Amino acid sequence: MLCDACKKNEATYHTIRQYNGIKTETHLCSECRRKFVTGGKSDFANAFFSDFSSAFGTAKKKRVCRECGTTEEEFLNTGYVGCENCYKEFANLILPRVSQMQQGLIHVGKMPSVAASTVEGEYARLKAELKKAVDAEDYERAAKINLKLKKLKNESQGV
Amino acid sequence: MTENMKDSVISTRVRLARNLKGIPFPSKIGAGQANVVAGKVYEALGKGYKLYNIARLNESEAGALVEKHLISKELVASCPFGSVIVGDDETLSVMLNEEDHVREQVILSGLKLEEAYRLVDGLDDRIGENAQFAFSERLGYLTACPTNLGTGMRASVMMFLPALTITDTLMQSVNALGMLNIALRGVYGEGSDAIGFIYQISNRRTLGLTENDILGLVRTAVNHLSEAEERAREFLIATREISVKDEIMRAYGIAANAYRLSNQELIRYFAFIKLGAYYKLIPVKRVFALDELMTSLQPYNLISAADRPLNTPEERDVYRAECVREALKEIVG
Repeated sequence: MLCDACKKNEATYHTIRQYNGIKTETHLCSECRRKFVTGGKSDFANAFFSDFSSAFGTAKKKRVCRECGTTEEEFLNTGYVGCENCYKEFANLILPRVSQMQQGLIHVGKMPSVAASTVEGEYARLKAELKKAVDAEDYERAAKINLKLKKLKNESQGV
Repeated sequence: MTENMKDSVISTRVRLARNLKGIPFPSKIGAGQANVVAGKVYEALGKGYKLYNIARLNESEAGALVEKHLISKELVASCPFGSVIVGDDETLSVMLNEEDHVREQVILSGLKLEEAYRLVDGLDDRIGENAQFAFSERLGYLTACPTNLGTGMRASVMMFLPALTITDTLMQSVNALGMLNIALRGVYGEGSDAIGFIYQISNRRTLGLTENDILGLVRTAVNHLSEAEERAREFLIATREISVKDEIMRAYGIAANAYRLSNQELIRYFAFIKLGAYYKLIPVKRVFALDELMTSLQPYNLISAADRPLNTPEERDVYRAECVREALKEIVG
């Protein structure tokens, strides 16, 4: 099977996605797949991230991350950020996309031991867990988390 | 776990993507910073692990690591500062400076999602003690691609689904998993071209759910596909008995007797031998032995394990056939 992007090389990377009964198949050779990964501008990458560009087409394309030099255009073309600061710099581009493809915008999983040990970190985590419990209508669990939150608040205020 | 699940599940892999705080991600990293990343991670693990700089490996050494799924093709092809840390038993590995600074992974044979997570979580704790990860309380672990934000976790199970593929009902079964947001990818080709009928099932979402949620979703998907595969196997033998039996016994006959065997043939024949084991047409003692054998017979692993130099594809095919003939005597009977 030939690569969808260059139509020359044998495709070695295959994906099938199916949403609501509509099946999309993508077959890429390693070169084109690489282009997509590292950000060489390919038709595939353009197509994949076209919703970024169209949704924010009117925005200025000149914003640059102060930390790593990644440009807005670079991010739009590749879908990759260059450093942690890019998430702040390009938040308005990234977050709408993330909320579409992820299950919400709040991390509820593991935390690094350093972050988890701060009161703020624990508070944020419990809040997220609370929201999840409420969404799942697990009120018993929500009440327990609420208690922990109150306790934490009191402790941090020295009461 | 039913007998059939043991056969339809090949292996479990759980990986966590991490980046170090204050260092640009690999697409923007310099050689010195890449060394800092590798140094910090290796220091955290130390004894029982080996560090390989990808640029210093020759083609077949790197290829063998790819075939064992310890590193990605991308790490070899286009990560100038890429390296990998491999645990002595080759269960745990950490790719460095690939798409993210750190990609911790555990591969276990069979369906062992919880165990694989427990191991990779422990590995992550050890690395996290020595290196501070880029982390935001809202978005979780910060990764080079937003598709990995949050937990940075991908739990994937490699499955053998011949009957769903042959009866053309795989997509129908996957479709039924719509709400779980599960990705399906052919390992040796796709759809009707999937010569080995081997697929990887993994979670698509990483943010907004816990690690346990992800393990649960993948487990549900795997159970569903295993049951669908079992039904499809019953249907297949009921509706196409003669042609299925013929295909299986021909595959076994050729694999056990051929003088030369290409890798493509190997993948195809082994798939039918496994199916033959399921239908009790071929007395295979250990199905997992077939999976292990298949990895060891992939081109680069074959070259590195051979007792003589294998310079041409033909020499490799002859040696592969020799290994298969010998191994089948052990595994079958």
